[in-house]
Amino acid sequence: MNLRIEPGDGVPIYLQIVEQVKRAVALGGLKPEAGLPSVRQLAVELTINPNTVARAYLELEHQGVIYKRQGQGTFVSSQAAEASKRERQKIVGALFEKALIEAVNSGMTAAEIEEIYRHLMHRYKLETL
Amino acid sequence: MNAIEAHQLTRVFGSVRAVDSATFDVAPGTVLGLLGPNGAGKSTLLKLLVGHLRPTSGTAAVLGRPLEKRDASLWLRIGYVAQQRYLPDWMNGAECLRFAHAFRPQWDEARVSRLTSRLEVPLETKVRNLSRGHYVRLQIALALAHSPELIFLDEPTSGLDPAARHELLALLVEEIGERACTVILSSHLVEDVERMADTVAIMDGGRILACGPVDEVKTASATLEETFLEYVGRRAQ
Repeated sequence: MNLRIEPGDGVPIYLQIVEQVKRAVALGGLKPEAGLPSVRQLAVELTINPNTVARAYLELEHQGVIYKRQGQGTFVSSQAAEASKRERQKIVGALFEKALIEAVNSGMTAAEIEEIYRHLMHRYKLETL
Repeated sequence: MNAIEAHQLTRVFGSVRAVDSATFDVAPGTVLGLLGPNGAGKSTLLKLLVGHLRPTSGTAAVLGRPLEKRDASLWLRIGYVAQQRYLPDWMNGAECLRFAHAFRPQWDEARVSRLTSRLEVPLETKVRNLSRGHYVRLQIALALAHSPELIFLDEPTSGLDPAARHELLALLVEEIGERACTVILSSHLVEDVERMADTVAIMDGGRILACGPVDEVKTASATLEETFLEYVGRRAQ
């Protein structure tokens, strides 16, 4: 799992972990039933207080993203995949929105924007022109 | 029972109130980050708690033992990394370790050699010839050798290069994870405190200006650094 935390950030470190795990699940970096590192492992890896990691895991468990299997560790729950669909829509939607605002602000017309969209869909073989 | 309970703890040097009415608790198994600029009173507060100084007034209990009733047995449960040099200049690292061993029945030789190799403590160099970084590493090995329940670290990362600093923090994370020990970490580095601490006490001019869980002490939407500067700056005005 490739997490990065920014101690200088206004966002509490435990929330940074929560958000990044949710994002990784939503975008498929973490598949359902994938194992997460132990609290101690992740704390050492990120050089942060183990209590902070434990708090993040507890929060993720409350939100149904991960679950503990007695004596075996922590795993991504299968419901998380379903929930992550909405999360994914949110993330991708926000990215599209950002691009759209940029386009509108730079004076592009709806037709021009749509053209870009169709070109991209074609390039990635998602739809023919 | 809290690992530390301090109530109105005060130490006066002449006309200076180096520690002024410090009141706070530290829950067992948590890390308290003591954040303050140079001269804030952090070192004096730690010295009061480890018993190197007597308070002018106020009370504190460390591991359930009131300061005035402490005895040598408490030392076996505490580790202390001081900011000043106090180890004998004429000893080398190995001799310092052997000396400390003599006072601590629960000394674990395997653990000590793991610590010294991990921290790259130069064992053959005389203390007088140790750089600040190497001196701190030796002190840390000495402070952790007997697996203390409570660890006081006074600015342990100052004077360390980034790699050594990271190594020290990683070692601390492992200690906390494995043994659930309580740690009091003083620093003027906000990042160290934010990484390591459950609770933070912001100190300046001998007073504790704010104390609580890190995320609560941070004022809304501000970083810990901004909060710290705000408290310290507010006092300066």
